[in-house]
Amino acid sequence: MNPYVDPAIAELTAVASKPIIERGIKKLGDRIVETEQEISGEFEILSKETAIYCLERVQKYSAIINLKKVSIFKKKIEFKHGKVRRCSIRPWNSLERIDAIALHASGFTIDLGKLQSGEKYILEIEYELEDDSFLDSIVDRAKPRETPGSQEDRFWLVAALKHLDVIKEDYNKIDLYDLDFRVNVAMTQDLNTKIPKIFKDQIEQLVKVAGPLGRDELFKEYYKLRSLKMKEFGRNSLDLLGRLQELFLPTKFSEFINVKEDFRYGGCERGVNEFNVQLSWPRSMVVISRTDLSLDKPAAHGTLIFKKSEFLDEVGKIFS
Amino acid sequence: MKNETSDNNDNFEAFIPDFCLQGEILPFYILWKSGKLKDIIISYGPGLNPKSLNNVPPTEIKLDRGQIKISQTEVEGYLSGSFEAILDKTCFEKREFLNISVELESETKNISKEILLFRPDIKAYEVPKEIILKVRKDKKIVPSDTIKLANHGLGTAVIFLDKSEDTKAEVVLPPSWENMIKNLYDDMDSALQKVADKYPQFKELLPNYLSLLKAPFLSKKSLIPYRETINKLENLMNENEEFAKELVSSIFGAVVRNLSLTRNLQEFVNYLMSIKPSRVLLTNPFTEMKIPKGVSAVGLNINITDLAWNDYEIIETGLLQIVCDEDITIRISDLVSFEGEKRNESIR
Repeated sequence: MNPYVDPAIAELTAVASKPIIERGIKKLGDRIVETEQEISGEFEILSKETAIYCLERVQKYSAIINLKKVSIFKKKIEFKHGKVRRCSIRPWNSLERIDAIALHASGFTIDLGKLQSGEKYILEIEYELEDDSFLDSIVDRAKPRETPGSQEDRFWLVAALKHLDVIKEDYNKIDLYDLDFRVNVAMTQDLNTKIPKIFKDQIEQLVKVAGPLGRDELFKEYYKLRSLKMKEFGRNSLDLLGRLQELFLPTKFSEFINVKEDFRYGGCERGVNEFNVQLSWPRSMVVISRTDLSLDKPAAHGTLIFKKSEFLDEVGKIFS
Repeated sequence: MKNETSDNNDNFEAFIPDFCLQGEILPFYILWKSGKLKDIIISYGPGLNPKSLNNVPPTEIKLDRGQIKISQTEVEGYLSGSFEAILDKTCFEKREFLNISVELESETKNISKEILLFRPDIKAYEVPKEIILKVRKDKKIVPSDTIKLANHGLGTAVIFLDKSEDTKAEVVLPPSWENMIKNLYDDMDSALQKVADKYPQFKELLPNYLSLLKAPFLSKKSLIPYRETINKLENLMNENEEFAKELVSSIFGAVVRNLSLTRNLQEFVNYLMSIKPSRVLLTNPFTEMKIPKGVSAVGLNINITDLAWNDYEIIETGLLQIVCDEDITIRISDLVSFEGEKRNESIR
């Protein structure tokens, strides 16, 4: 019988959800165990490892195996333990793959006739991760929604494995590669102060002139626009808007980003505005950072730095 | 402000962040390479509430006020967990301590942090009794005064301006804006439908997301489902990068298809109008109020949330008089100003 656990402690340690997570981890572990059972009939397993590639969403199993004697009755081994994205076999001392694998809907087949008894091979299998919540069930990912910094935004990033005992029980070695963090980096704070008021007036006036107006009204608004255009920025306001938009291109925006410590930069894209519909003018960029975890290094931290003042200087340069 | 630093030596690696928005999750972890564990004592201030502990058997935890004592871990050499930074309605900026003491048979390691817990703090510091709206020759509407707001906190305030229940003046969207939004959302509807077909497991969530995009105006009632949907969506985007890319590109595809020069320019103006100084975002900068000629009693409700979707008291300005000598349509946002902002002039 399980000992009594204080409900507050049970909640803290996620006791209730543990069996479900155990089943999820075990399911993936079982797939490897069953695969190994099939392999070990004809091969000796000399070394092995399992890794999860988060970006590709695959569970990769690699093993160095030694082919025992090939039976004249058993020329092929069939594996039916889940959808396989890629599978290959090659001599352990060569990069050249042997054409002995055939993929099918629920697994793959190895044609033993194309291999030689007593030879060592490297077998690599990539099973698809079918459970959409698998990574969330085994990793805590934490990041702040905003930072109190003024010149620079420094976002901390923390990844930590959950249920290490269960993972360790099912995998003696496991690596999680390219675990991704998507951080919303707001870059519009103080943007207004860098855009001259006269430029905003011109744009607003341009909108009015382009709108549906009567003849007299159009003439009046156009006249106002002309007088605004006599002032600074008037002639190239669209060009300036284009240059401002360029700052939101991922390649340009990445110049203001630095990711360090256990994490690395993995790309960026325009954020979806959560609070209103000015969709072509993003309030934030989503910066993707990646890290790796393993049983030896079950937690990692990093810092994502947004060089806000440099970004605003660039905005200022457009209008200088 | 001090930067976040890890507290490491040859045998230990630990991390506790230096800051956290109130209402958000504050993680921590500690790793040690060798040495048998005697116990771990985590002490924390009242602004933190323990949320999760990883790699500890429930039977090996003792909870006391402000202290967690752990006598054993499941796998040697690792402990992680998190706290919730509690929303403090009385204090928008404070420092809270978190100490972790790991006692091994061979050595003891103490890790201490003072964590800055912050949030926005919106105050209406001046509400005039009367605002006179004058129309200049160039048709600019010039309010004689404004309701003055300030954010004294370090957190971003997300503000939705609405009229009070006892205000009779009508609140409308500009006609051109309304039409554009309808076309855009029709396109988004079909784009998101395609995403839902491709990812049937998220089918239930996407219509919710679209309805939130369609009506993003925050009120107390809408805040909870909004927060839940956005959080779920964020988790799914974290989990499945292909889905994240598909979703973002489908939304921007709809935007690009609907992009016209005028709209782009108009969006830019609205975009700039929505960003206020001192970390304030307005969700509805373009909403207008129709004020009839004469004297009208108008009150504003200032609905506030923040980036952690915290719920704040609505600021009610009470009724004030708005006086004008002709019928006027004015942006509601032109009736307020924020500390550090130049006075607005509305173009009719």
